[in-house]
Amino acid sequence: MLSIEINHVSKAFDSFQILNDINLTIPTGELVALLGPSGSGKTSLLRIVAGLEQPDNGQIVFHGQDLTNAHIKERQVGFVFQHYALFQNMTVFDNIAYGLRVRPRKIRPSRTEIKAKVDKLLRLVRLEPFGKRYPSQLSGGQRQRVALARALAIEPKILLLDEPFGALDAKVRKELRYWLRELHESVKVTSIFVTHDQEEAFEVADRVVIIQNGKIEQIGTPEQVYNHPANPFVYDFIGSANKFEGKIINGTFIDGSFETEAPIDPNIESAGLGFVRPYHFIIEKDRSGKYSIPVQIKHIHAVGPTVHLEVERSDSHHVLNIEVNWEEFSLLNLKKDQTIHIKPKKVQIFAV
Amino acid sequence: MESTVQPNLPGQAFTARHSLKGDIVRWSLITIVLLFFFSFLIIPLVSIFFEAFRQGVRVYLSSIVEADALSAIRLTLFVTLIVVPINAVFGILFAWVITKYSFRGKNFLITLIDLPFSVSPVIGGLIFILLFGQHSSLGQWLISHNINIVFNVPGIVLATLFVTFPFISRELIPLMQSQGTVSEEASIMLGASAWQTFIHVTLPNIKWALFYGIILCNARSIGEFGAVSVVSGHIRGMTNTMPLQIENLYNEYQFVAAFAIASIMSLLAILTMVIKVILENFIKKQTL
Repeated sequence: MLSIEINHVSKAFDSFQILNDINLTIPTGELVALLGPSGSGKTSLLRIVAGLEQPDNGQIVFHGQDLTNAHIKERQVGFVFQHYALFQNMTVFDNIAYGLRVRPRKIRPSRTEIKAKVDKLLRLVRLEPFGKRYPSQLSGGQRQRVALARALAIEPKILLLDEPFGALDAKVRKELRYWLRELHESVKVTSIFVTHDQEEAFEVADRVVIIQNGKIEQIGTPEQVYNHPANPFVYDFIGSANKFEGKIINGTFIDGSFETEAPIDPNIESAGLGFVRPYHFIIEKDRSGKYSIPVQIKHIHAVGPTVHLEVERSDSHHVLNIEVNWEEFSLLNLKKDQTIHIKPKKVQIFAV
Repeated sequence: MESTVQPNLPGQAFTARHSLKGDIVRWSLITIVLLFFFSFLIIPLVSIFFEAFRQGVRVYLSSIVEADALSAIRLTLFVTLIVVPINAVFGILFAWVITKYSFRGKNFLITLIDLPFSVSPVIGGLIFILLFGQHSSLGQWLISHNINIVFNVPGIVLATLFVTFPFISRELIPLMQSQGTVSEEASIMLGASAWQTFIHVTLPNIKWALFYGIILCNARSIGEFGAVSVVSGHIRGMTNTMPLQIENLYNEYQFVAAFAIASIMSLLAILTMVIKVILENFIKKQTL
């Protein structure tokens, strides 16, 4: 059962194409992350699904029902804003109850029903003692939880979150990530959240949709996207990577003195891009074969669980980032300005 | 022992001399401001009450309860009671449209809103004479149907509306611009109608600015002279507002009567300022 279908959605603002023929289907109960750099169009897509903006072309279908031109009210969407958008003049309780109280009398729950429901939601977001407080008396993380409870109060068919943790500090973000994951397990409402933080997307989402320049670059589980990036953009965007620019000739990728096999049709000759993660290097004191690259250590950053090395290639003078563990680092006795040889363990080659 | 004290540290001497000089500047500036304040604000204000009571309390009271004076007070309050609510409603509407929607010609509208401030009130009054007076065909048609706008209460209301229109929307527009539309969007997403959103979300957010605008609009409606003077026709007991009545009385050398009404207007103005200060303090407490 598919609960959200986005079919051929396009949107332009003046002459600028924000979204270009977006197709995405989301099964019921899934938690999907729209991940992309700022200005990629991810928030516009979310607002179109919510009904806050209209697409120029395409269709938005919820549970088999075309809602492209439906009013926001008919969509029954819960929306969580980046900066919470809580009603400052109302208490936490009144904020959460708002969506129930504004219903037409016929379908409005009774006072006691509303109270029971809000109390339940306050428990769910672990804010029971805070019902009588005003938003200004809460921390950022608490406010965002109120915003979430408020969105859930209307029992939305779909929950949309726009950079829900964007305005919070790193520690609170982390806590809320796990909490959102747990919450989704218990509520099981189909959810889309927008983020520019790949770590956040990978930790929380069932599936990740990578968007750039108004186009979907890749859709997949976090593992699929991380281990098998579909194209150079995705590789570059999700986590740090070292980029090698070279040529592909006879099934070999060549960049200066560095050569490696390219798993590409040997009859194709083209420009190529190679990517290596910082922790996919073997460090050696001496050159061993054509796969190793001579580099000079420019900077050693030895804080944290791994040691970060900034090295400069002796041939092209490009700077590479390398991570080694402490044991290896002390075993090799690495020093600044020393020349070493590095050998990529795993290279991802793309023909461009 | 005096010798342990070192009185002539160069740094100390300098700061002492420096602060002394600073004191002179400070005190002379404060004196100038206070003198100015007393001669141009306090003395005239006090002299209004002094002149009003020059011939005793009884004369003062009798000049206030005199028929034409009462009529002027009544007319002024009547006009204010019509003008302030109308300007409040349209001021909110105007600010709402300007800040929540985007449309062609919006910037032009924002520029135009200050027109009643930049144009002389006399011209504000004259516009309505030209529109609804005997010299225009619209005016002739209206007069032939027994609808008299000029030299009548409707004209006074229109002229006052024109002059005081910007007060409320000018208070609201910057505030509503800075607040954006996200609270309204949140309300709509939760299923509220546009009216519910306005009542429960927008209005509470703008209430203090709105109240402040209403106070300013109210003060100006009571005191407006120029535009009203042109359209009123100065008919005693009929179309004379308080400021116009004061002028009439003064021109007839009825100083006590003139100052008696002036004293009432001054009291209203002082009251307005007191409310304004109370409100400002209250808002400060709310936002801190």
